[in-house]
Amino acid sequence: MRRRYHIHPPGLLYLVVVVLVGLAAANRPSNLLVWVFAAMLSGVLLSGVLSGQPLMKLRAVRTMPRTGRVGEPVIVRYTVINESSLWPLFALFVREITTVPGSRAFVQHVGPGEQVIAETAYWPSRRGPMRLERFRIETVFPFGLVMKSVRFDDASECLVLPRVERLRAGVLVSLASGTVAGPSTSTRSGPGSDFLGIREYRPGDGLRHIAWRRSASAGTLAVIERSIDAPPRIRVALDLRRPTDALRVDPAGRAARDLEEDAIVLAASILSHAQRDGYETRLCVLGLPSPAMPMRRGHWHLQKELAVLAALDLDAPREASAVLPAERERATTLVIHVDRADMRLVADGAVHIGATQLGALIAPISTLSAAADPSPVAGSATPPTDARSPSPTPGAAS
Amino acid sequence: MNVALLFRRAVLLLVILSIAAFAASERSGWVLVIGGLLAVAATRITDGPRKRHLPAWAIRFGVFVGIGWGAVQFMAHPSPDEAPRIVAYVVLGALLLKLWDRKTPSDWRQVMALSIVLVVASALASGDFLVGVLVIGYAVATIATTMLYHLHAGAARAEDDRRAAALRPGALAPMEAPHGAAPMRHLRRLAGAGVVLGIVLSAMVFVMFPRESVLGGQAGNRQSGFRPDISLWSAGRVSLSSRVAMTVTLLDPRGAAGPLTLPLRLRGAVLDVYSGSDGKWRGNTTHSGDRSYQTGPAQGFQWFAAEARAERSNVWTQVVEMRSLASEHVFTAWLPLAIASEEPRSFVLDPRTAEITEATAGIVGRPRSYSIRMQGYPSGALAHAVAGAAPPALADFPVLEVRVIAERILADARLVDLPDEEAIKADPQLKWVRQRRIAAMFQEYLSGPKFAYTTDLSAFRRVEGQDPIVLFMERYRFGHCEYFASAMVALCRSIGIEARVVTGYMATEYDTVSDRYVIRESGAHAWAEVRTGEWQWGTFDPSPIAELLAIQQANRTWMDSFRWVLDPIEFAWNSQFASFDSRAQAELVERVGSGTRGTGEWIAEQSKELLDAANRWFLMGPAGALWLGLVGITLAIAATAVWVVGRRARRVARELGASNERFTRRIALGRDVAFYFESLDALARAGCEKPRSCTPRMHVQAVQRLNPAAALAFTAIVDRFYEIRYGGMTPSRAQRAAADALIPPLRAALTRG
Repeated sequence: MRRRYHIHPPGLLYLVVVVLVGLAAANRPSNLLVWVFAAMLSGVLLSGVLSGQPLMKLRAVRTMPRTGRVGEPVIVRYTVINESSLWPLFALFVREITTVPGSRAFVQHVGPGEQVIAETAYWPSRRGPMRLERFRIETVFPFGLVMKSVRFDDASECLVLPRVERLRAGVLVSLASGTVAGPSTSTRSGPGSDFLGIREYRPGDGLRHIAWRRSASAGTLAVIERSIDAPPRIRVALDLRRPTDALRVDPAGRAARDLEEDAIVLAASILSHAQRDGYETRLCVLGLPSPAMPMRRGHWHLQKELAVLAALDLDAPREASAVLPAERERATTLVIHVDRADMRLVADGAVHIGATQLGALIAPISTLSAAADPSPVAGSATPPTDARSPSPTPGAAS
Repeated sequence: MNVALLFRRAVLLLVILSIAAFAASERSGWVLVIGGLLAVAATRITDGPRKRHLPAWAIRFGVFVGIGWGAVQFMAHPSPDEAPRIVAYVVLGALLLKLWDRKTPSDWRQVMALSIVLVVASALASGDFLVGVLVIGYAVATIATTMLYHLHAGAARAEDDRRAAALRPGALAPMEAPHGAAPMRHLRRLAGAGVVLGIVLSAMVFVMFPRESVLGGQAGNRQSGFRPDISLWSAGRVSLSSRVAMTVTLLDPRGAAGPLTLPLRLRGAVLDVYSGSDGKWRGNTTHSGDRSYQTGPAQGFQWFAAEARAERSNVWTQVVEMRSLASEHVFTAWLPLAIASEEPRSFVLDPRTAEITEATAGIVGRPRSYSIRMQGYPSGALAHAVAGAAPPALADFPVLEVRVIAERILADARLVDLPDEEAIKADPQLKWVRQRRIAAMFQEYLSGPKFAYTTDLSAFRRVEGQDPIVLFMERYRFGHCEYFASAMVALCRSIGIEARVVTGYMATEYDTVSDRYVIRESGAHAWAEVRTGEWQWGTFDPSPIAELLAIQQANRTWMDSFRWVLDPIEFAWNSQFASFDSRAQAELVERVGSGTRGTGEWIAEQSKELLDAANRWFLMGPAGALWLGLVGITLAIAATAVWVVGRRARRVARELGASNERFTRRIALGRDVAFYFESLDALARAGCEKPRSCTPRMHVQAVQRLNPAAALAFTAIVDRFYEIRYGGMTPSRAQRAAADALIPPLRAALTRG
């Protein structure tokens, strides 16, 4: 914790005015003017006393969310504690000493012995860990003459997940339509419609599930057991085997590093889209160290996958010989390449997408409101090739 | 907490106070009425539901026009005295225009800054009591308003920041500035503390500010009022103040109060030295024969000469009560014979001019009233007795052109039977006849139709190489009483007639209810005294009295009827504040020093008296002092014990969260876990202060990271603490001693670490 007094332009101006009034008072024998000068001078002292003193007993703690998202506000909260038993605190600004664009938090008042929670929003512009090292609480209260600040060293971190774009309606269905994926029968029993087997009756089974013929022939009650509906599966493989400077990209187009980021955004968007549509997903990152992920469904699984994508360090050495492991379960494999597609990576049945197609897969802004219920559109399997100019009629182009 | 509403109201109050201060300095009710109404209307309309406001270009244009007008005015009247007024008018216009602008925090700041400039300019233009009161009120209001501004502007700025930083508009809900409980109560307290501290600090700076003598606070003031010197080059308009300076009760030789038929002239300062280079009249500063007199409640009149005490005929008494004037000069109507005061004071008589001044300078206890015995028509012997020695001859008038004018006037007057030099040689008394006749002729000449009386000297411009008296008589021929008196004295002295300028008051208003003259500042006057005998001086007033009285009468307003309310406060203002000068500073320092020295003695005396009184009351005899001493020591020990126990109980409540428990329980707990508090103190001194949010166990872990040895010792303490605080253990004396024994190892570990 470090306290400081700062030179403040209005304070400097005020001091100049005080000096001028002092000169006038010295040259003009008017005691009223002398008093005006005295009052103005005492204002400077008062400013230091009335706000400098309470800041001695100021404590603050920062609370950050675990994750954020590129382009989305990360709400950071500060618990400002006034440990003084006498002096209240007013008009406090909390400012992070960081390069992340964001606003200042403002606390109007903290009474003696009270604590108040203020919040501010930061807008991370890149994925990865967002580290906030220290923050400063400053005030110019009561007269705006001197700025007083207290610095707190409190390092905390938030993982910024990659941007997730809203894909065109039906994109996922179209991509997976030609592959072996799709709703299948599960080996687990549940409230599905497919037949799984027959077993003995157990108390609690419904009458409508009783296999009457089998029961009549066997002489004991038997029940038809049905399987749960297995969700469709999709495996997203992100091909990052080639180092950034070895990528073969169009010199007039986007930079290689930007394309890699686009590929990550595309992977994140497809994963999010798939999870929303009920798919089980698995993320495989080729070329960079990343944890092996299972094929799962659900919010927390998606968060884990996005966290893997967020933590990817593109400056790390690449493993050029990485191969995509064979999928044990039936699933659509979607390979996202940064530059050119490497068909040897996967056997037949995989769908290859380039990072340059990100723009084409994104839903146009004008249709976002209309596409609140994104029902799959048949025949929209192949996205338009125009990468950055979305078509006004999604799915119409091929 | 609706800070915005409170702030808007506070700013409006500030603006009106600043306009009122300027109106008071200008003595113009219209400025207050029109300015105040415009300010209120602007605030109401621009803050209304439609938020109507003038376009920015119109406001800028208006401000530029105002600045242009100010520049033209200053070029027309290039006087340093006029500059604050012009600046104030320009700022007033800009302020009223700015109130019609939209209101962002920056605009509010500009409004406040303009009002501050307006107040400072008002203080520069006038040191009047009412201005002072308004300036002080403004300063107090500024403290609270500035605090409100920072709350209001801070919230707005934070919201703007939040909106500007947002990459996507509308992604965040509008923010409400968080605050704790009862913010307005805390703000009021803080503002109150600020006001008190501000007054104390500003009073200290005010007292210590290095200054020259500004006695009376009148220098540089263009209001009417008594002045102990005259400057004929101070042009401009002299505003007439209706403030009551003093009241005078005039008692005839039989002791009956009543008015005179003629205006009563009260002599204040006698000015007999003229400096042609700067056009100023001053008093003679060589007071070789001055005599001092001490007056007091039991001393009665102090007579200036034995003959004066014996004088029985035509001795009048004048009782002066100061109301708003704080001056060291004593005002007398005629030749003073004796002086008395209710308070112990010291007066000095200059026998050469019969001028009396207060010897004890400074602000503290300047006389509020005094009585003078005086003789309206003193004989030569009586005047000689008071003067004590022959008056020194006055030097000839230094401006030669005046003599030419005087001779021309004398020749034009064609005075018949004027004693010539031969006749005077034959009969020296004819000299005084001649001087009286010539002075009367000059008086008649100056008060004639060739000269006009006015208080507006804006057109009385300085001409290089020309004396202002010559300019008055030959070129401008208008002026106020100082010019008429100066011309009269200059004419007399240029042809060898001894004369001097006298400044004081002319009393014309008599209050028949209280039987006394009411002397207002507008009655300040200057006239001439011409030597008309060996020891006598005659009063000659060349100012046209009728015109003078008409101007004074026209200046009266209905507000003058209520002056009696303000006058006592105004007297305090003038005597304690406006006239605080370097001598008052020295006096105050001396009094404070002597007061500090005497305080110890006073306390010792009072203690001894109290002790004796208690001894007598309890009838304890000779050993009573000893008993009382013992009781006193016991009480002191008890008070200390209560303080220590109370402090420990408060700490228990604060740090152990036991505020809801009974006081006795808290005291017992404090005693039982004193070892724990001691260990916390030791850790805090070593830099391991325990945060209040941290449990003792967590604190052990924090200490572990810094000093494992200390953590080991502290663990034992915390274990014992938990047993007592939460385990229901009530430690015996031996267990408390054992717990205390845990502290030294901790201290040793901290010292090693």
